[in-house]
Amino acid sequence: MISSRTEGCTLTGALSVTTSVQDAITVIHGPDGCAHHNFSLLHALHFDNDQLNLPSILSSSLKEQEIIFGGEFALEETLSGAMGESPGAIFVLTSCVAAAIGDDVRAVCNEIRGCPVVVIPTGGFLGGGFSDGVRSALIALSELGKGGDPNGTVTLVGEKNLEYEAEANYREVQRLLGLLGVKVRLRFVRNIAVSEIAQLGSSSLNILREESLADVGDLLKDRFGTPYLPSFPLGFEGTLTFLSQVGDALNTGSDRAISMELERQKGIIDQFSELRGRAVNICHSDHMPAPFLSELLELFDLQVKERGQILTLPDPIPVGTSGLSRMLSRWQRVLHA
Amino acid sequence: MRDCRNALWPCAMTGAVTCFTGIRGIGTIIHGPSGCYFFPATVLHRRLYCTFLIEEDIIFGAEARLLELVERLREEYEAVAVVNTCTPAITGEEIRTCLPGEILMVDSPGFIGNFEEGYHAACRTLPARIDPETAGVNLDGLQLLDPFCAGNALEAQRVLAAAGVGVAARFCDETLGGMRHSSGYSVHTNPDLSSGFGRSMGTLLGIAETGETLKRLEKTLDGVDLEAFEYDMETVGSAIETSCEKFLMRHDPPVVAIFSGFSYADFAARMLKHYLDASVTILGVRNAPGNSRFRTAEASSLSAVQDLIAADPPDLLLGSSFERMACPDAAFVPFTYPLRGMVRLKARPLVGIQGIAGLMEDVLNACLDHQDSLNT
Repeated sequence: MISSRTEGCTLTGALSVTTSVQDAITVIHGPDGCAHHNFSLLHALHFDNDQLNLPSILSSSLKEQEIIFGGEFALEETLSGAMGESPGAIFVLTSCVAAAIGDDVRAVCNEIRGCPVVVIPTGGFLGGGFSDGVRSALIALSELGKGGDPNGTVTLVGEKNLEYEAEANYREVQRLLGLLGVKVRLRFVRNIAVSEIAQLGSSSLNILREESLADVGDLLKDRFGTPYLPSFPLGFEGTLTFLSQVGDALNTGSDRAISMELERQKGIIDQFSELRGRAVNICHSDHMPAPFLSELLELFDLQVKERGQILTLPDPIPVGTSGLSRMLSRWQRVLHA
Repeated sequence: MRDCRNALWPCAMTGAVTCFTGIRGIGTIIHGPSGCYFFPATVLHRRLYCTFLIEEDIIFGAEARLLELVERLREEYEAVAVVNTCTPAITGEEIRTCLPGEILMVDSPGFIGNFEEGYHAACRTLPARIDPETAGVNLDGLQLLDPFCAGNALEAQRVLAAAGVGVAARFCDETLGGMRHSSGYSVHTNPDLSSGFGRSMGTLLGIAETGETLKRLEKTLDGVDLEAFEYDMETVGSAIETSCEKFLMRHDPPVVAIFSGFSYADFAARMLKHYLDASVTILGVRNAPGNSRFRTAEASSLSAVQDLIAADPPDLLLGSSFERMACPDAAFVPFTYPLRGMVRLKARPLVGIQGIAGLMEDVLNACLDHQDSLNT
């Protein structure tokens, strides 16, 4: 558990993963309020991301009676209802209420036959924060994965399904991999069917969305023998290193891809030459990796001054060369304004 | 069988927080984790505080953390309110006894019920006082999550001012000082959310009801004059009648399903029946259903909404953006929280004369636009 006090609920993190499995049902073992808070948030974010489908989240509707007498029967009833819809899988998330009253959720779920029931022991805030929920969900869902012969493809692990740029980031990684002639076999987990998770052990390389998912990468490496890269590409230099690392891991030459990308990067740096030498005051989150910022300061000879033009480094950091290009474009617009 | 798919209505904790944050001068603390804080903070757009509990606080106790925050806010605010959440309520932490006496405290964990239950529980703790020197009437039923809250306050004030009646305290969108000098009389903008302060003089929901409420005020208070209201009622009422008549010359009466809190839903159904002879298939209510001449059912989950719509498909839908997504083929009028995927900046009333005018305008335009889209 590494989350901070202000990170948000494990339920939200886990739901960001489970609701991206299209033919599955997610059950929150908790009060309806927890389900509404999260459903409402997902509904709002789906609007922002032009996804007009609604996630399917069932609640076991724990009320005062279950707090006193236990909520296992309520969960059993909810699971029966979910089974009636013949889902590809049922993912059961526990709220802090379920954790506090000590329901034996696994025992109830073990009684269900007919479709995979995966328990994700989130425990609301008693299980940590948002990122712990994401990790717990990825680890739990990996139980549905199977081994296979590595075939030169990659699996993307832990894409941030709630981020506004999720698809743009995917397209950038896909473009970079395309320079190496490499294809994405599986997005674990984004807009996939339950059956696709079985391919989890068949890729030759896993690429994690960010370094905080290292324990998920380690687990998949132990289980399927798949090596992993710790993060999507960040920064100009980082993007070239990413190409080199993928090339090395998959034994495909990367020199040509690196040289093509380097040319593209030079073009972009020239395009934003107006930024060069400007006095700036850059706002960023506390966990911004230092190399990313120092590369930008150096490349554009930016002068950091308290009274300089305020520019914002997005969190999460833009992915790849294209992400950086879009960020520099926004910076330039601010300087023009 | 439990069948709560995609719960559509906030919990009691959110209701309590909504009540307190409507009172300027109260610093509101959510005693719970960040997950409980972010939802009300996001939807209410008011400053909120939280103890941001983590597991070790539950093991070792969180009183000191809460007290520290309370002490800090007492320097900044005239009053401090604490809303307890699920886990501290289950573990039985005795926070009430550890808090200074004047702190407003409500034990309103999400599992005790829905938004309205928490809202009412918080209202019962408000330090409102009736001041015999205060003229006018209180406005009741204003809550920040309601898309009609700001519009209702403005329209109620306009209608009452035209009748020579001043507005005293506004529950719950008021200053703490204003609440301590409330009137002995109240009029309701949303009877579902009656705070219980002041003697009820009726509702402003509906033209006829507003007229009756003003007549009651005329008998009770000095200097009430209904002339301006009656003129306004006749002019606007006649304009609505004309527009509806014109609509019905070319179109059949709409078949409508209405989703919201009970009082609003029943009001809209009566108006649509009256002006358009609409067939009302269902009042799907988020809170406890009351008595109505229309078929009423609880609709606090998406599965319930979908079942009600499928049983009797409407061509006009009043509800939230959840209903809009559940039934994209019907004409849609935004009517209850949440309203996403659209821009809403203007204060729209539902009460008084402008409220009914706005509702019928939205309904007619939605029906006409819908017809146009079907014809193209």
